[in-house]
Amino acid sequence: MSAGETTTRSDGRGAEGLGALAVRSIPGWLTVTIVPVVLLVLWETAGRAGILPTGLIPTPTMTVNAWYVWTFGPDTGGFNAYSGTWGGVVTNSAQRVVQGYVLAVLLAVPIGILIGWSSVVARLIDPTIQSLRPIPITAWLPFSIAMFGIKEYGAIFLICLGAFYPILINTTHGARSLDQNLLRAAMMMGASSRTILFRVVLPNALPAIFAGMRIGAGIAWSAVIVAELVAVKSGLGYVLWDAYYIGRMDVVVADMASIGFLGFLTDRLIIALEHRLVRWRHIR
Amino acid sequence: MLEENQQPMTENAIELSGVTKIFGGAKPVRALDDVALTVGKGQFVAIVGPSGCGKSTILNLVAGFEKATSGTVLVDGAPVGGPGPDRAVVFQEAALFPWLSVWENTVFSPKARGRPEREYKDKAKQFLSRVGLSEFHDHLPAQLSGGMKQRVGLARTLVMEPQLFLMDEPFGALDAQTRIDMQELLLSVWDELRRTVVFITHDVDEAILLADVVLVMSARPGRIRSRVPIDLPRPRSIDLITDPVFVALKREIFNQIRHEANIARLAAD
Repeated sequence: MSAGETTTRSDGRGAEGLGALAVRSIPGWLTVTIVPVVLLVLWETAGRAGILPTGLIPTPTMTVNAWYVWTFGPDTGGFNAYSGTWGGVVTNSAQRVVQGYVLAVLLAVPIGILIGWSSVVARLIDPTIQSLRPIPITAWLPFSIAMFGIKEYGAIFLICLGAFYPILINTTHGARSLDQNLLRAAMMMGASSRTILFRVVLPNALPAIFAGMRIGAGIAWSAVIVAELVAVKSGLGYVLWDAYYIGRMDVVVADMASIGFLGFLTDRLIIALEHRLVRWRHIR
Repeated sequence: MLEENQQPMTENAIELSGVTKIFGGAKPVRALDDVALTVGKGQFVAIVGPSGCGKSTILNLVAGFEKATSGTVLVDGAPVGGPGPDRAVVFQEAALFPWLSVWENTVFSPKARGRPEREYKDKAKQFLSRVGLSEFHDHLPAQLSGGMKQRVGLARTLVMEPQLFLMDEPFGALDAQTRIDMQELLLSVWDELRRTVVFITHDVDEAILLADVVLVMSARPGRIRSRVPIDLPRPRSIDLITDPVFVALKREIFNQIRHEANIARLAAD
């Protein structure tokens, strides 16, 4: 007991020490915003002062303006090919991500569970997967275009492929990490292999599956941009390259910010789903 | 024992003969060597011995988690093939499914075996209240103390209504007070059910308090060194611990274990 108390006390002192170093009177959410706000202000000021070539690097306000026009398409007088198209562009990319990603989850989770559960399946499939895995998705681009042409399927193929590996590897790891006594407990209670697979191995692997799904989602967004840069003629990746070619760097930066935002949103969605499905991991 | 007298001599719940277990690997370990033991129907047998003597291995063989290298392991006269719901196991670390509530853990076995809910629901509720956890129906294992987890571990085996309970140091990880509470709970549950129990422990007090017979194991390779009948009246309570008969039994068993531990130490040197 006394050892425990001492630890607690010294921890408390440690926390106080850190607190004293930080700016104490500022609430947490404000602390979080300090660095981004300072960076944005510096960037904006540098642009306005002529330090940055705004034709190449637009200021934050120029970017926000470009995004506003791109999204809401107000009548600005001149012709703007991007005016009001943001929603459609984002939908194009998001649809591909969702399709490829869902396909990846549907493939990787069962295969991963089986590889983790059965040494026969592992010997059967794992070597093939491990030898294909080091090939980056970018290297698959020509193959994908040759197979699917300049069409949706090429993008979906790349996204699925990119998201597949991390989900698979994490699922396999999760299935293998089952505590021996949990398996024994299920067996002595008369559970069949099927029941053990669905009611013990799968729930036990869920936290690992979600870890893989978060990594996979990040790769899915990278993959959609890569595919749209080259193999499809729509979406955020296509606009990114297109805008660059016609010198609309404000649209390029707005596009980059949109990709970042959507990736962030996807991650949050997966975390929310994880908290719902793996509630037991978050209760203490 | 009353129970033994009521039943014919041939009725053994567990029979091990010539059982040897060698764990393979680069340096094979002979965990059990020519073990023979019988456990009568309805008997509460405790196995004690120095650590690493293969107590848990015996239990794992009977449970069907492991296979003997040689010899026979019979339960109700039939060789053990694999684990099954006729032999309930209570693990040291409870081994509850962390994603299932107390209730779902308790009814895991009948549910996994596809029994209709009406068949086990009332019974499971009774057992849950018997171990004092009715209020914690919807709690998750992470929200329970070590003692409460072990109560669920006991309740889920009671729901199985097995012929045989195998308990692998079930209270070994609990603090002293909780351990006494659990021992008294087990005593009173056993007095009601009178099922066969094999109880592994390194706590001699616990073994004497609970069991009809205490088997003392030798140091590795494990053998049954002696069989000490505990002729203390039931129902028993924790107060027995200061009884002269209890103390004498404890001294006897303790000396045997100490002797074995010395042999083990000499062998290691």
